[in-house]
Amino acid sequence: MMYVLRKLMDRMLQAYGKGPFGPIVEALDFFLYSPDKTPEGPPYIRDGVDAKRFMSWAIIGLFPAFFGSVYFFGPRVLLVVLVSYVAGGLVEVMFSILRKEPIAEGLLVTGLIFPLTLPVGTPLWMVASGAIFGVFFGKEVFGGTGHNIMNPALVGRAFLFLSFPKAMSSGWVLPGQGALGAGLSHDATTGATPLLAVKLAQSAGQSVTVAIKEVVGTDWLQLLWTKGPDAFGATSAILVVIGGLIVIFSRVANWRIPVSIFGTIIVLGWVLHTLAPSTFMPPHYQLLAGGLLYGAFFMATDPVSGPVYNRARWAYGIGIGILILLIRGLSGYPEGVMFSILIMNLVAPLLDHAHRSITSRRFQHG
Amino acid sequence: MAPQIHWMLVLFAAIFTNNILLAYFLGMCSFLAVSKTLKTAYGLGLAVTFVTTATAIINYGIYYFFLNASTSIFGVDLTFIQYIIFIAVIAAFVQLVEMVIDKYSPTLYMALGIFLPLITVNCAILGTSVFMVIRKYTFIQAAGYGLGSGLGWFLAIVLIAGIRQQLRFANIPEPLKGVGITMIVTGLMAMAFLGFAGVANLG
Repeated sequence: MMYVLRKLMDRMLQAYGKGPFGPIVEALDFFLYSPDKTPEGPPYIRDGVDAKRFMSWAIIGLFPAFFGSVYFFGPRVLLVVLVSYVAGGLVEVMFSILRKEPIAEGLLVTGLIFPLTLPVGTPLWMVASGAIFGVFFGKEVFGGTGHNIMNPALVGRAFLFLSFPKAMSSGWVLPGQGALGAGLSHDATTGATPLLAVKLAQSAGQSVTVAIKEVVGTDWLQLLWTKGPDAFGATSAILVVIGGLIVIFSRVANWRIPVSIFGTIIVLGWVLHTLAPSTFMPPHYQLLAGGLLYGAFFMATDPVSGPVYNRARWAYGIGIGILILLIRGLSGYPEGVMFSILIMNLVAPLLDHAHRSITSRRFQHG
Repeated sequence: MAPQIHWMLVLFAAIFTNNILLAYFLGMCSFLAVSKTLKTAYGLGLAVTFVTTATAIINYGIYYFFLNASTSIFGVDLTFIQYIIFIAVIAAFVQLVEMVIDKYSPTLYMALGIFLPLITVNCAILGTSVFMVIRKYTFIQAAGYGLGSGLGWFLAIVLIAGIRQQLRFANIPEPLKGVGITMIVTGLMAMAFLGFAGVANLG
């Protein structure tokens, strides 16, 4: 069987490898068999890990959250992920053919990371347009995987969030209502996410602490397993943390970034909560509710759009933490993780530059 | 209008939530042209910040002492010439800044080239003075707004310059190189900065 497949691939490579469909055939070959070539471009890594293995670990890290959301929300999750892959893949393939370059593996991560940040009730055409926008303007116009300045998955999500605010804030389905078709039928119960509930209470003049009591009661452990309706990848804090530990221990993600984000949220969040308890949520709620864990482990740690020096990484994580607290507490949006990471993506080149100029100055002065 | 906003809030809002470049897209021309390297972007950003703050303060005085009918010493409504007056003040001020930069940093002066005198027609600076009048700011608010818009523009051009330095190594499609990709990045930046919406309001 494997022999026949290999034979078939070889024949296809011979027939189409040089033609306009070359990239597609080559990608198929890459996917089925490990590449026998050395990496040609970024993401560059110091040791022998090439881009493909890098991406594989990121995907394995996403698996707990992914399977968890299939368990919580039913098979619609699979459909949404499939749509995201196909739509993003079309753009990727189009550019590969135009550039006559092999299809890069970055899409495998982007196509999975992006749909996991959406509400389950998102219409499929919105998922598709978000994926297309994210891959096109977030990545391909800069030259494809490794060249982008912002996280393409977040670019796609921000595009959807700003274009269809209503669909993106009302499609939240309560988890765990029967495995089949929970999100597909119209009688699925929707509800406010934990963060949205707090925001609504806040704008109604209620204090944050009272609102949190109403949402979670006294059962804090409930937030660990399922937090009620939320982006499906972020539903279960435990599963996200398991995946996060996988990416950190496989060294795909740099531990400094999530650690500095959590540290900022805990320390500064506690200070702000003590100073203004009616505006800022307590730090443990900040950590567990919403997409903070998911964003900190999988999106802020994107090696391409983040800074590359360790000292810059600390500053980057602290910046994300501060912005999350600011946006969640004071802005009109219930959730600030997406915007915080996007903004710090923009600042990342400056942080690297600052590190370089500090180091070179020290070098010059002995 | 809400004249009771604290001037610190006006300053914050002018930098982040209502960034003169990323929310109103004013001052794009020099933003696109001088953002190739961090050094020139930094220099021009400082110059624009200084000019915006100073001209907002001067124009505030001129508007309320000479032009506005109810508060002016002439008692006549001269607001129809406000644009000419504002531009004249800005032009005079830019001249001053130009001489200072020429004296103290000839390299920066050469690097900025034609864009230094062209700050005169940087719409962000005139826009700041006009917004200040439209929104009926008090003096301290106007000063805060002038400084805020200047710093906001400074922030935007430094960010884009950092990004463009990094993009020198990127494999950008040929037709998009230069201004094209810069405008796309500016759009993405504006999208990210929308996250600040509602943190502070300009009234």
